[in-house]
Amino acid sequence: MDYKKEERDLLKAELVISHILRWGVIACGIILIAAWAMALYQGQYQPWTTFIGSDMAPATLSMATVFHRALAFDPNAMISLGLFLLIALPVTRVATTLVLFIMEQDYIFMALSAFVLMILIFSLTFGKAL
Amino acid sequence: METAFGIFGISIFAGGLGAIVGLGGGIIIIPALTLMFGINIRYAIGASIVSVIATSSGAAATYVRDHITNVRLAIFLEVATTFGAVFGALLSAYLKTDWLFILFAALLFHSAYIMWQRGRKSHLATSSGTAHSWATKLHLNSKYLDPHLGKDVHYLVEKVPLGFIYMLGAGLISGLLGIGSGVLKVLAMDSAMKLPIKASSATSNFMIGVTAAASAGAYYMRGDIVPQIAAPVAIGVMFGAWIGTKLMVRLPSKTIRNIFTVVLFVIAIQMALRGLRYGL
Repeated sequence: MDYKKEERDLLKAELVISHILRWGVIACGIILIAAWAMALYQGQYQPWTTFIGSDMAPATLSMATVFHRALAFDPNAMISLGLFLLIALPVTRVATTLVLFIMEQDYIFMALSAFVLMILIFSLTFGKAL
Repeated sequence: METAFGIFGISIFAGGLGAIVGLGGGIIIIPALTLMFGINIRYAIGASIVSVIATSSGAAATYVRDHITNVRLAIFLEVATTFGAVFGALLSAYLKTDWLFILFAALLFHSAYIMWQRGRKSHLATSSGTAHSWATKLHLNSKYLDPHLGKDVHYLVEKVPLGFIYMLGAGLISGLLGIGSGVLKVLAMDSAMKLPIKASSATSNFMIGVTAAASAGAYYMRGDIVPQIAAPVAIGVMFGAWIGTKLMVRLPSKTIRNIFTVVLFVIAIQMALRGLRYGL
């Protein structure tokens, strides 16, 4: 009995995950296409050799700056933001499965999802430092 | 500006070919960007890894909805792949560029070999009929509804620890070289853990996105993901993959596979030469 309910809940959860993935990719795609088109149109397309090491590279900017510039319709910042959202998409997916396992009270998989989520966040926060 | 469209075009091609042949776009993108456009391999890897997230998430969405993906197994194995991926991403910062070329060449040779083997014999992984104890404890054994057969296919999962170790390797390669490692993941699930091929493909697709994100995060924060390169690559590959899946039904996959095997071999040699030359 318990296993059957577990099965049904997981099936419902899978639909949620599927939607997040599909619409997330579409949304990111739209942002990227729009931003890239803008970059080309505005001639903001500097060769990348001048980009790196300039103040445009996220390594030297904070995410907050990228965010603000994106809102100001700076095409390169918009692209950068779109790419960040794309990276955040699987992270969101893992967070969703974590929530679902919490609701399921499936402690083992709760721990596993949490662990994966921690690794992902670690990558985003400390990937630069090492 | 022409470079932008050149990159875009190559990415569409890579995405389409990847969708048709079942081998990732990254395998084509990175050699194309480095050998054809002279882009630094680190930026090529950065651009590729982001596009991997896009294509795999799109494909995964369909498989999950159709309940073919083994979500539990995916999450369990993702502990291994993400760990390997972060390690790979960090490691790649310390390796000299030549080494990245050489490792990539090794990967290409290996992929060409696998592609060749795929064409030659149908790899029927025979199940031993018993699940691994971990599989039972973690409810990893599952089933899926095969639309082709019209009924549920039940399967047991075997050799879980071995699969876990394979996934560490797959994650490491993914993070190090900027590819999806889908082929390695499917191999591990198919031959080691004895999943039916459709389940292992679907589950692999599901895992690729998360694995890629694990290393992409590091690359992004390091500034290795350059908007002017990554944008056309990501958009192109997504578009190409979409076209590819539409075309896949009509095209002679076997011929394409054979041609692709040869192409991979040639590219592998070129990447190896590139890595060796700069070392001299």
